[in-house]
Amino acid sequence: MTPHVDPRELSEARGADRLEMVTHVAGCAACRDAVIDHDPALLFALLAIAPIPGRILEEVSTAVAPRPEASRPRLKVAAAAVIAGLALASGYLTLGQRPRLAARSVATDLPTTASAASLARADVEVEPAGGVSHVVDLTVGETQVVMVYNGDLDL
Amino acid sequence: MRDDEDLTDLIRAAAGGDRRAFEELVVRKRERVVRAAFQITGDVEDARDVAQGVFLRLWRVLQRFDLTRRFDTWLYRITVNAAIDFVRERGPRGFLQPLPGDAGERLHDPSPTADAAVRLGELQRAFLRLATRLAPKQRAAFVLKEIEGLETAEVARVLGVTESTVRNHLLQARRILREGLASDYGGIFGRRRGSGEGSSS
Repeated sequence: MTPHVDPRELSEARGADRLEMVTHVAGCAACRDAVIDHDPALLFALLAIAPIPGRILEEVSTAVAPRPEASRPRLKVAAAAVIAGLALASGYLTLGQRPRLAARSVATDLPTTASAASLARADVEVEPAGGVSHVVDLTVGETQVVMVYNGDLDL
Repeated sequence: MRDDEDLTDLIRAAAGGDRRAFEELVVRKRERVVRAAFQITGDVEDARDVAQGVFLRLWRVLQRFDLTRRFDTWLYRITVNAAIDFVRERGPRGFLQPLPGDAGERLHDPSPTADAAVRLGELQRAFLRLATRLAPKQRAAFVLKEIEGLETAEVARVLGVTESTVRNHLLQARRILREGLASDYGGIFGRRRGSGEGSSS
């Protein structure tokens, strides 16, 4: 049998002590009255023991579980695509001309690549870590394709 | 202490690409993440979506986690930011989603007593209704401190503000909720009516 809870202690209690207090107050009308008398808003502390539906928790695990093995490579591809688009647009605007038709390779430093990804507000994180990025322009006719690769890219 | 060591081992393994360790980490933390997200978004399905995003992000950035820091604080920070961003993009709801009605879907189970369960259900609806009157950071501060039970200093780290700012958010949040309870619920929400109900102590 748990002793009555001092409402002033409820807000400051932590961990297992707090859980015990909250559980007690949830089942003790006298303690709930005491909490309400002290500060009715503190009654919302009882929501700490409201369990979440198992279905929702399982859906979280299910949605997350299959991805770990594949998410990083996929992310790199997505990042490369975003960066490629940016590099293309940047080059197009800067030079004021269409990219050359022939494939070519350009070396650029990684912070520039990270900055480009950041400017794109892409849902990827690029961590500058040194090294160089290789930008390969594969544009043919109206189809504009630029690939960026850097082995040190940390996404 | 043993739990902390287990968690550190789990995080280290997951950060190294161990899929099973990551899945176990998700199982351990998912309820906490969903609950915090739910209290901020006000919708359990939205909370699930936020939680999924949080764990997917966690997988990507876990290797950057500093093991000398408190993992839960870091996780709450990601969760709260994601939930606030979610609400900002979604926009305010004009009508709160009712909680699922059947027993298997109820957010609250009948613990510790049936009477308490009824009160918890009412309490949850009241909070979701009144919390829409709070600013996002006020709501997050209240959820973290008064529902999740974090210390003020930890709430400050999660929200990226000073402790005095947290205290200010909490004062404002409690005042607004108190006034809401008084105006919308007659100020006697959950109070015993008459002397027929006794203490369960």
